[in-house]
Amino acid sequence: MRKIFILMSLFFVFNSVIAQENPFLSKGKSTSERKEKRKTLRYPGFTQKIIGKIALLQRSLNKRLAELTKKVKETKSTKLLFFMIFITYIYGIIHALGPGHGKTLTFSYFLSEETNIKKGITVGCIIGFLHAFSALALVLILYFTIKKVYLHNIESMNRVIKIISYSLISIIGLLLLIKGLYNLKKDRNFEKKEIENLQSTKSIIPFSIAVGLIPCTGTTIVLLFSLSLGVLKIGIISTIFMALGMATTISSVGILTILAKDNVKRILSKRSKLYSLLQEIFSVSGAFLIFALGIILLLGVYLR
Amino acid sequence: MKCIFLIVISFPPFFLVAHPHVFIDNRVSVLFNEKGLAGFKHEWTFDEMFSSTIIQEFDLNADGKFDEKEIKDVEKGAFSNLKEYNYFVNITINGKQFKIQEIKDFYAEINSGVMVYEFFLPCEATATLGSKEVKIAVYDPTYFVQIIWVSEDPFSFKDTSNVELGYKVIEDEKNSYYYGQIIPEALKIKFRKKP
Repeated sequence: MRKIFILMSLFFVFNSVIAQENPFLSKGKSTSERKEKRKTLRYPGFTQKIIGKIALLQRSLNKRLAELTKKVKETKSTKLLFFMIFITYIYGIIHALGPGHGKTLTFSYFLSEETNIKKGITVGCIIGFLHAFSALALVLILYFTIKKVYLHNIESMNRVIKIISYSLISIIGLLLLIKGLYNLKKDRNFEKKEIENLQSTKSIIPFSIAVGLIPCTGTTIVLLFSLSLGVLKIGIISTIFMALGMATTISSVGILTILAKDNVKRILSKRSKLYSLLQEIFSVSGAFLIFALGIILLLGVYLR
Repeated sequence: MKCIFLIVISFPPFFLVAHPHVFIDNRVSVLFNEKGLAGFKHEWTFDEMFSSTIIQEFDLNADGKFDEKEIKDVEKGAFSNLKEYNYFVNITINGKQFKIQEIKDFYAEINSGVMVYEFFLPCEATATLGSKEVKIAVYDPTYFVQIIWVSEDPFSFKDTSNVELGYKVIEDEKNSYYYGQIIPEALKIKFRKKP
């Protein structure tokens, strides 16, 4: 039962690595090219229903949030403000369920590295908050410098940030891969599994920052909307709680991966050889995934 | 069980979940002429948040309206690029893919803070005595934009005096997108020349 639960939860964990582009503004690939990809993967029918529901929920939350922001501005009611905060938090949770937002990367990282729940939460919080605050920083910089906070300017600045972030991710992936392969070789030589040393939480900070750097488009739109109403303050409050929502989702991904990994280990713990082999497979494949995703994402930016 | 579990956790299948940033309510008028089908007039109503981002950028005199020049700028800056995406429109005539050639009469307006795009998509199909079947689905395959039919009067048919027609909305499984996860609702029209 517990396994089924974890399996079901993992459904929300695995996510697209495709970075979405705004089709109204930036050049995108033609539809036909994308179609080919579509045919390679197909998901069972029940997922479509769930996804349809989530999508419609997001649509109505988006509308709610717009209405509430306006009402809070008009009435200055604290009660409404709290309600708005609640909606923003839920919006953040659901928003981060979508592709991007570093979930696949987080999954890969925890597959590769020794982890504990605390680390899972830390990574989730850093990515979630940085993701939203990076958008906030962009908007504020544009607002206080050129006074023209347009989606256009933000998209072009995004490009630079993406290149930096994806390069960092690739480098981290490569380093982890080298480390994993090195351990693999060492283990073969000594035929002895090293005692796992739980690294300090510090080691995950570079990874979290590299992933979280990318500004969240959802947050950017919320901020631009509040700017258009002349209530940047409400926008900033929304940003904080949207960030909290996204941190919740990403932390959950981290925790789920850790639980799943521990579960597999527990099942195999009696067979020590298989166990140590598995540890190495996790470590190397996770690192390879991070490296590969970094490169794919980087290419994605250049090919556009 | 162990095996399945191992496979699942070792090879992330990259499940995707819905993630739109822009929401559009679409209304379409199907226009006919004396020969048969002439094309589709679209009316896209955007969500208020995305509307505000475009309005801030293009309603430069901030009068809450798009004037003629501003409409031209909107078209150039926040519409014409959709050509790369076939304007999110997918049409088949008797099962054959229709290639979109051009877009006419682009118009943008602001209705109490909400942005509306209108445009005409010419798509000619001569009415014959045997019936023809035209299917139109409107969706963004990248799912940056979520497009659904507007809840009130999504479809209308104009100048239909020379044809007999019927229509229905179908779950267009053939055009399921985003890795087959989302099934658009397509409008299926059947028409023939009045005998």
